[in-house]
Amino acid sequence: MAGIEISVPQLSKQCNASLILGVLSAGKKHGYQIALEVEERSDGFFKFNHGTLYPILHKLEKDGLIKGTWKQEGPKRKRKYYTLTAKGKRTLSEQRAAWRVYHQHLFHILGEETP
Amino acid sequence: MSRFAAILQRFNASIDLPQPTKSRILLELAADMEDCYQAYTDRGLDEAGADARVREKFDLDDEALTALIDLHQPPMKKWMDRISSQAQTRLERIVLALMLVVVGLIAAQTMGNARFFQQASQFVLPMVGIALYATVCGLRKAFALYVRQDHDIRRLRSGLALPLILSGVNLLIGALGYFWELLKNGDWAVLLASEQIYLLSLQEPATRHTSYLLVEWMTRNAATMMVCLLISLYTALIWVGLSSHVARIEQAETDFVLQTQRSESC
Repeated sequence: MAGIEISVPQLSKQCNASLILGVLSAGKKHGYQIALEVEERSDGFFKFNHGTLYPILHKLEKDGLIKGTWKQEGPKRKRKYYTLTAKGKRTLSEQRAAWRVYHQHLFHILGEETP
Repeated sequence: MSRFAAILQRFNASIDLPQPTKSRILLELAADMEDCYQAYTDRGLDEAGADARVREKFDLDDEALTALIDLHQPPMKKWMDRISSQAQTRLERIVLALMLVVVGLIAAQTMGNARFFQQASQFVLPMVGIALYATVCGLRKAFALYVRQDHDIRRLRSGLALPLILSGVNLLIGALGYFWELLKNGDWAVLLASEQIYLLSLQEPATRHTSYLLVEWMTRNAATMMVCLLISLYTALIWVGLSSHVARIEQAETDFVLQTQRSESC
């Protein structure tokens, strides 16, 4: 049994966190790249408001699921890149299972086959 | 200078965090805004259009800024906010923290001394009972607020005034005990003349022992009052902690109602 459960009141927060972890599983990215990739990979279905992006990114970093590293780009420019940590990888795999369970229950009530 | 200096200035003024945390957040935002701007111009948008789109996308509202502040706020500042939302300036916070630390140290040292309790009168017993009762009531209310999350607005303030009432009752018992001990021992007159007796005993080496006796007598009487003041302070702190948490819940409830009304009227 997965250690994470999807909670309906926290749905939006958990979904955003999963999207960020999912995008970062492909490699390091900075904040804007994460938002852009979420939007592109979902064909615009998920749109990240930057107002919600940074608090979630920083919370994930504080929880040790992602790691932020500063990199010098050019003479005056510094960028913060995020990578998935080992704990983040484990959490992502638990979240995949939790979302699957959530969908099964949802579609069980909707009366259709699980996609 | 960044083309988004004005918006970054606004964030700078709104984000109440120590350095370098604040600079790092602003640096991250500034770099992402530049990237976003570049992406829009690459897609064929003119400079003014790209600028406007970036400002729209990165317009962090108060909720987002508060979330960022909450995340990065040092634990000490969070603790101070919980204790007293009235202490706003840094000086007020430092003074309040120092007071609490000093009171805590004195309480630990005094209460940890068994001889101190032997010196105090029997009035200490009901006062210790009050402290225990206030602790149980405080824990019960804290369990309802923090663990059970019982935020029903009708029950929110029930039992909240009890620690404060207990603090007042404790003060009365303490004062009563203090004066009872003085009168019982017939030392009321000695108390009034204590300074003269002390000075006299210092001048006359043969009666020097009197000064030691006098100090011991005063310590004995003061012990009851010390216990009383510390317990009153302790129960009052329970009340402060709980009532500031309740005030925060009420504020959140008000904000939610106002927000709902605003969105309904839009």
